[in-house]
Amino acid sequence: MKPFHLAAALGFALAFISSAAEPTAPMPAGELAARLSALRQNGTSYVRVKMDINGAKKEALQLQIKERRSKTATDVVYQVLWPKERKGESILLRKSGARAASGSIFIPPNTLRVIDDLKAPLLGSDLSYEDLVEDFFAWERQAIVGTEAVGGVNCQLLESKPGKGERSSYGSVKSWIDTRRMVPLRVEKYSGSGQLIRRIDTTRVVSDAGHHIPANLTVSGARQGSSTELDGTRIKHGVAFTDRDFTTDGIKEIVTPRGSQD
Amino acid sequence: MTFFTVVVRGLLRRPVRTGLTLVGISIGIAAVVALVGMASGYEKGIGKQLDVIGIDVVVSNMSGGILPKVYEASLQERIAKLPHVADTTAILMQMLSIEDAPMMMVSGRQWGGFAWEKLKLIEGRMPRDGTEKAVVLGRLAAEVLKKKIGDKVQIEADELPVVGIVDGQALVENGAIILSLPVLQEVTGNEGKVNFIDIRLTPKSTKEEVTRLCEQVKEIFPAGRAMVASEVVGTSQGFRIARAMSWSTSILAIVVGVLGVMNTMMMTVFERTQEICVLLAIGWKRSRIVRMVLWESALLGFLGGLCGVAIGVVGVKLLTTLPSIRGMLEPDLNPRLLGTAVGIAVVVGLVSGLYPAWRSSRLTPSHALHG
Amino acid sequence: MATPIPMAASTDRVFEAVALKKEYDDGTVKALRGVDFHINQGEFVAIVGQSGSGKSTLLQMLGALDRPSAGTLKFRGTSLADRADLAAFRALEVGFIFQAFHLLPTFTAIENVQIPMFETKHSVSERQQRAIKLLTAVGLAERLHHFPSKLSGGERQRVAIARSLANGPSVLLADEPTGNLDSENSDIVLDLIVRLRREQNITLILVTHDMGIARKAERVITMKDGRIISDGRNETSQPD
Repeated sequence: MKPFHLAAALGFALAFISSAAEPTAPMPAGELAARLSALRQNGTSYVRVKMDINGAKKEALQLQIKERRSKTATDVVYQVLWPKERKGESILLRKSGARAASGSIFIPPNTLRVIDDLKAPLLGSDLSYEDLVEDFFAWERQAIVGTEAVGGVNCQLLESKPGKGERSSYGSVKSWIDTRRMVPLRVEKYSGSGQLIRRIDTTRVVSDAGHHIPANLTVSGARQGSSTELDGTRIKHGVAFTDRDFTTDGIKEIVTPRGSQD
Repeated sequence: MTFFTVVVRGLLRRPVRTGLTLVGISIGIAAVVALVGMASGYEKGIGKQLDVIGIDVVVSNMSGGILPKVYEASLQERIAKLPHVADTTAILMQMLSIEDAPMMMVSGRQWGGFAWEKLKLIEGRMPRDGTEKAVVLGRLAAEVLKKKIGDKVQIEADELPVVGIVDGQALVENGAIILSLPVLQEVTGNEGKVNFIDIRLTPKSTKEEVTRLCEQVKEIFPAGRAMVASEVVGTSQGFRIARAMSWSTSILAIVVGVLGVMNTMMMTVFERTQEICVLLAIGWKRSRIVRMVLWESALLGFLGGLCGVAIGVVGVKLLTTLPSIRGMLEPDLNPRLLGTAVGIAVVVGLVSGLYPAWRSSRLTPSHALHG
Repeated sequence: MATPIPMAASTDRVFEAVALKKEYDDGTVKALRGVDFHINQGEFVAIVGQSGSGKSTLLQMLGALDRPSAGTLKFRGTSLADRADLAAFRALEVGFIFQAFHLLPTFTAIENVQIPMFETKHSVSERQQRAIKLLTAVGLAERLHHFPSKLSGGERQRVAIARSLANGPSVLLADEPTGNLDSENSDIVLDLIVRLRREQNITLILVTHDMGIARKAERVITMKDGRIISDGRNETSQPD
């Protein structure tokens, strides 16, 4: 509500773009997953996020995220901008094809190491490194297991399981898809033995360049009584990144993309 | 004893029920005061801000999401050459989450432009020139961020020292981080881009001339739109929605109030059937009975209105001290709104009393003899 | 015991009823089946009969609390049916005393007495003074500011009597005024009504089923099944 207030405060009406409200006919699981996966492979993007970790101690971080996704490979960089003490902490993750993801972490002034456990928490949050790069919508086995309403919105319940050649620490992922906006409103990730590992709830959806994207997320379940909130504050698409941005050298400095389209 | 005594006694007869009804109306009226006060404060704040800065026409491209899309700053030169444009100033406005605060307005202003004119320095100094990497904070922004002169504010990846704290004479200004346009362009990677060009018109421009100017802006900037500042507030969808929402919620609250008073008055009338018959038997005119019931319900409404206004005013004041609202809203609790709220309450009371009053006037005095 | 009533001059007539009928529930209940009588100024009339005889219905017609179904009822020569201001008639011409007192519980004695005075043009202080005078007259000068719940049954009925006299009526209509009182209070209240009536030369019409009370009246009308079965002077009328 607050950004809305101030935006309107300047006298500029929010364009309440809600893409054509025709109800879409139920789609086969494979097609639904493929469409969701395709929406993620949208080239390059730069995202600014405020991350509130509500664990044993409360912590707020300002992050910048650089992403470069294609059908075959995903590169992701997470960098801490604030607070000062953690400024410069950076994570680089890469996943190509069905291979397991790999990554490095840089902690200023000069610690650089390879991430060996992709299940470890990202920057002390309730998300794991793996969650950042893994596209479970691209997995082989997709099935629609029902419909359920989330916050009054009817959703298709999609169950995704990794195929033979696909490496993941998760055994299955259930996602509640608002098929009108093509946005998952809730995601639950289970271990191989069927135990719930974490749950991600979408708390705000914004419309961006004709697409709907989750802007606020709440992640919970990784640890008892702990949750992490992610508030997206800015997103840019079609950003001109350099290859260097996605190297272990590149993450040693904080570079904000220049001259890109807003 | 006056007729008014009779009316008051009617209400005091069941103090608990009267009290509960009062609470009901009060809450309804408090909701009216709070919601409408907030919405109108919000509108006034904006109108005031545009006024304070002295903006006549605003040029922007509103097809963006939350804030207007950025466009080439070079457009300013072409707009400045249009007839009836006295002065222009370019602004890059961004909503950013700063440090541990939620979204805040960060306003990069053309150095030397008129958008700087009305900022009153409370403490410290203004940036030395258009290139100094420094910010001034609106006084509320300074409070929210807990910053004083000499502290640094991190905007995106850059840390900028706070050199001054200003009073912008409007809430939106006071909640903002203000810096020179080129600095914000650099910090946010928007070199050469702005998203507002504010225009001051030559004195005594006619309405037709202003309309013509807006059309000319549209010609050189087809994606954008020029809007007359005084019309911005009234035509903005955001405002219309805020206003409609506050009133429709209020109406719901009022309906609840009406039902409450009507229920109370019906019960009083039913309960006092015998008494009303006695009053008729000893010579009261039916019109006096009707007046008695209506006065009672109007008085109930009036008292509920007074309590409601008090609760509403106190409630809004408390709300605005909450950290998440502080600095965002300055409610407009003008006497007219408060008067209207009490007026609504009285009307609510009267309307609710109509049916019970009619019912009571239909009673036959001979019932007084029975039972 | 009863002797025929001598014809009185019509100007003295307070009430005059001709073929007065009252039916309830679409005529299935006939409360009055044609009643003819007249009552003169200053008379003390008791209407007696068993319950269901129509005596209370008759009193309601006299007090204009209800309209007759047929027949005419004249008050001082004018048909009540022709009067547009029945409220004013009830307020100014007659005073009503009920068996159940019917005081307003949220008002003190002095306030209850003032209630009918709203229909007059008296000022607030005049109303107040008059109420004090009336309550003093019924012996309740010490009880002005008591609420009905703090008064005994006899005291309540005396407040009700003061209220019935509030606007100085020429007729008092009393419906079983001692019906809810013990014998001691009954005597006090009845004596009071009779005394005030005599002092102020008020016509008193009293409905009762108690022959002991009826004996105090100058004239007794006996009713049965909605008709007058006897109407005569009470030879044994005992002045108090």
